[in-house]
Amino acid sequence: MSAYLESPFSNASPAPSSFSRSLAGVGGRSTASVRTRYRRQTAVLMLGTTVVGLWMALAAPSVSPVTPVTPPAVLGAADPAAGSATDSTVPPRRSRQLAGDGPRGRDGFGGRRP
Amino acid sequence: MTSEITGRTPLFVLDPPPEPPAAPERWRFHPGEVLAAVGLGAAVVGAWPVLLMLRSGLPLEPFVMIAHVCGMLAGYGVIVLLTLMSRAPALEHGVGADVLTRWHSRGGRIVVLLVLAHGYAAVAAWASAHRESVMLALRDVLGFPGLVTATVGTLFLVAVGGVSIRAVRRRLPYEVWHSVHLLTYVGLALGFSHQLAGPDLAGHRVLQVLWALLYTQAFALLLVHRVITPLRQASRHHLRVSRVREEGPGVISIEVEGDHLHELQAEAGHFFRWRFLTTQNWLTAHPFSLSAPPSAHALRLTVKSLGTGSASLQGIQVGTRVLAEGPYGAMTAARRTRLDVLLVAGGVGITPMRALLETMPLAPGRRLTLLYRARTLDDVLFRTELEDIAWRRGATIRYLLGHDPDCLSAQRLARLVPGLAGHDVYLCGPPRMAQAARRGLLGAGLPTRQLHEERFAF
Repeated sequence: MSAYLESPFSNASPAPSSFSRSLAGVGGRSTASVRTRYRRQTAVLMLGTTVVGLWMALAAPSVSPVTPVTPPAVLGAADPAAGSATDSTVPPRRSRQLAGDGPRGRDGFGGRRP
Repeated sequence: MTSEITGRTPLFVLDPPPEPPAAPERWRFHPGEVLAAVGLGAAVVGAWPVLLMLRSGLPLEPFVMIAHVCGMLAGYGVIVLLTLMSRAPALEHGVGADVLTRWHSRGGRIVVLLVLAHGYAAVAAWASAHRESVMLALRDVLGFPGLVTATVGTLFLVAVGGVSIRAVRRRLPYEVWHSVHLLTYVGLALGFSHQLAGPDLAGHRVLQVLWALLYTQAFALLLVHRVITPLRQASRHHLRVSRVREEGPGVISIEVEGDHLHELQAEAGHFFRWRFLTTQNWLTAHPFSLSAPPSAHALRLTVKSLGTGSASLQGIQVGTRVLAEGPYGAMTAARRTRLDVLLVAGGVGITPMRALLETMPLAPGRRLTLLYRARTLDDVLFRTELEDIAWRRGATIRYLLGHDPDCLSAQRLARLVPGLAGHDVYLCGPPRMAQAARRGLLGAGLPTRQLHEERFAF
């Protein structure tokens, strides 16, 4: 509706970042010490969670208790006597509850089924 | 009918010195960088089980492959979701809380689908391999160590996904939705041992360590930024309501005073999640933008009565203690890429724009324009303040009044703002208005990267 005109006034308002800079001197010591304390606490927390992560990873089984599903073709070809090609990834045994539960094929990996 | 009113416009034209905008000082991730990193990680994680299968020499069975790839991607997706919602400043200020929330919402759906696909494909693969029914296969698969707890965890995730469906969420009180959402952590804890012991990670100690560290560091980020930082801020800043002022019908500005507020490094355009410690409000944190540039001792927010929470704040008393989490948001001057700036506001979306109008760094001779959409002149908030700022800074204000749906069309915008494509545009308003403005701005030739937006509805 109206023609666009530009300002004769200084537009140099403080940039937001200069806001914090200008105040850095006011109570700067306490701010710095508080930040240092926060950083230290955060570093300790990160270190703690790293230790927990390492502990969990190192406590995890090196052989998966979850048997990889073997494709039917391999199951058909594999035989206990043959020592299947997937032996390297097969757990030595699963839980006691499942061991020997052959008729339903629960321990079918390794060639007992079908 | 839409009427336009131009704020007090100054008189002369100055030589425009080509001064670049102030460079951002914070460490921020650009949305493109985040998406690229997430995509690259997903590609690596998704490819790993396929590589393992190829290396084993076994034929690639579709169900087996789906089970492994979906399982790995779901586990990875959880890490991404946790990180997106950690409120880490580099993400909040670089990407923006509204964008992160939308990504989290979409990502959450994908992760739930991946988990379900993983479970279904694993059972189907087992049934196919052993030529038995799906129900028998399910019973067999659940017999493996850790699978029952992982399945319970999956059910929790599905429940969280269910209550997060928009239609369901609208009907639930926020507190109920939030409580159910917390089940996510229980679900993750229940399924975590299954992840580490899964056939794609077990036997690869380095990968197990990396995977566990990714999880624990994501949780550490959550803990630091969502629990510890708010507690630190509460104990450090001692925020209290110092003044309440009525701005218009159902709209109040609340001034909050506190100590050491400069340590927050808040900027115009930021928002906080405010928790007012009254019996009605202490359970819920409300996100509100700063409606004035922050000072060393005070922050100001403006609240329009739109829902139960904001309505209950209308009677807030001076002296009420306040917890403020933040600052959050990416719609600050640091997003600038151009010298001229256009602010587009609708309704109560004027709050961050009012703060930006006052503080946006501007080289002499450059243009700063505010388009303010409102029904009537009486609905215009901060009118005196806005015109005063415009007069001081040489900015132009155009009020777009009335009910004309085309007042934000590409043609109208191009006419209202000459050289629109050369501006950085900041947009904040109600969803429908923002959508119309977005369409108009992009239609008028504004490059997407120059549109900086904060959406009301995440």
